Amino acid sequence: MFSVEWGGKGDVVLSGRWDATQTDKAELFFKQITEPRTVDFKELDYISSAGLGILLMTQKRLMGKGGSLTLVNLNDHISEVFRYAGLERVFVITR
Amino acid sequence: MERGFRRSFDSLHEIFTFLDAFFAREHIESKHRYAMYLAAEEFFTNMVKYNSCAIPGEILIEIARTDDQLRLALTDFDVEPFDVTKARPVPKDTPLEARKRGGLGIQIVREMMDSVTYDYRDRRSCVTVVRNLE
Repeated sequence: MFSVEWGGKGDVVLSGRWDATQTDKAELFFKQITEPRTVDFKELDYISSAGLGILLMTQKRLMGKGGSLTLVNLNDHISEVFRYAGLERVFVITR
Repeated sequence: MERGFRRSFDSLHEIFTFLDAFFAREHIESKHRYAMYLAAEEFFTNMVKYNSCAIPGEILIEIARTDDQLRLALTDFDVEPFDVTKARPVPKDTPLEARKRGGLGIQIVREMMDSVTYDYRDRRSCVTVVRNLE
């Protein structure tokens, strides 16, 4: 199961598997983000291109206003996905 | 191992469960599992999206292991050809402002697999990926 919710410090906490069936839920949530946020991937096991697309569009929107998402705690597999997509250059990613 | 899945995004959970059963049986390491989940999702959703004129039915997914390889094939029936291997990759240094929402799935799968091939005959569209097991 996938969940996306606000963490205690105003960061975004992801968990489970973010696949194409979760697009509507994720899009609804990420549309709320209008300022720089940290997105915590610690409990996220899997992400596909569907999830990357939503993160990308959110980042575009924030960068237009001089802000950015910071992605933290990506596991090795997810880090690899970002690297293969060339997205480690597009986001601020810290392990 | 093979099974047909209804042409709907809602089938993804069943697909992952199907793959999990195979991975458990064959003792497949997590790094290989992730690559296969991704390949199955990206190509399955691609087939559902871009072969929308197909008669509602099933997409066949086959997974097999030889000693040193995993092979995953997805076959869609009674459809027009759509060769995903011909999709142009998004250059990795593409700046954010030039990036579109789609197009990354196939590219990522290509990086993770040792081969991605497409075959079309008798109105059957088949994508096969192979990943070497180290």
